[in-house]
Amino acid sequence: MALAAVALAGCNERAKTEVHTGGDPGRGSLLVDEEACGSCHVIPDKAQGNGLVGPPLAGIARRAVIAGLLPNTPDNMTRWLQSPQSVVPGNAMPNMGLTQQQARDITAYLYTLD
Amino acid sequence: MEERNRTRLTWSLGALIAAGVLAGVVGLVEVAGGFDTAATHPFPQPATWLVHRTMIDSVKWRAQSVSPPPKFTEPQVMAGFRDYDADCAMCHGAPGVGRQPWVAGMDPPPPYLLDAANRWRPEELYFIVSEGVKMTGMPAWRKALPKDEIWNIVAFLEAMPRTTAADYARLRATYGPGAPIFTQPPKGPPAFSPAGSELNQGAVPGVAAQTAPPARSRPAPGAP
Repeated sequence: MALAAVALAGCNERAKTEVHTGGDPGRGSLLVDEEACGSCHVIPDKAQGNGLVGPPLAGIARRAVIAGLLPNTPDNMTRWLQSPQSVVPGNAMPNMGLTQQQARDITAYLYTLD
Repeated sequence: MEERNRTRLTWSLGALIAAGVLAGVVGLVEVAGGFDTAATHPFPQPATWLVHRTMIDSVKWRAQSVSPPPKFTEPQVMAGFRDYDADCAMCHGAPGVGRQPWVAGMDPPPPYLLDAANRWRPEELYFIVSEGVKMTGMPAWRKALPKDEIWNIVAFLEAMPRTTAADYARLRATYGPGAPIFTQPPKGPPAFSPAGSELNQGAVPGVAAQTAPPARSRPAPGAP
């Protein structure tokens, strides 16, 4: 947790993000397009990232809590992305059937959104 | 006078040559397979934006010819739910419900529609569902559904921003393919019962195949 906070505080570079999350932000960015995340979330620099269903994703790297419930660590973000319905049953975000590596890649991408 | 004719001739020749060169380049790119049609190689962001913008403006302009609907009724919304769940949710998801796994392979990716009613007027939604969208995989549903059923789908889309994941699950249990009316235990032993499928216990043969979870690594949409 403390490690995560330290790493997050100064972490803006892709290499650091990769080590930190075990994911590839480039692949994560492509997955964010494929999974149509932008139809529910405002995402910086995404042509179709203008959805107003869930929260905007700008600055998510610095947000303290995920889904109003989980401390914002890479493992928790990965868990949330893989299975939002088991973290908060009945919330609007669906399980997208991501593998753990895919969820890590998206986590890595999200942590580049400062 | 002669000078003027010569200038005009020069311009016409120039335009003709330019058009020829352009056609040649386009032809060469096409014949040589220069345009990449693979869905795995999406357009760059600016082109994506332009294409999407083109679709939005086209729909807004053309939907002006659609007559606005009367106020939607509750039975319309329920009928629309059934059509949406059967024909649309596989690609567009629903509150708390993901899309089929293969949809991640589509480019452009079909959007979730939870706030579609906040972005489009009902006439525009009708136009999109009825006429489809070129080069996206969105079919023109008027080839398959009568007008009133398309309006039912629009009625449900209008209700979707107020529909929670729990509401949607309840609607599925009440009106969906897994609704009790379709899953009465059959009189005799089931004719078809794949091993290991709890969902098929006591289900009607034929319907059983529909409710069986797909044998893929990704979970079925909506599964916890």
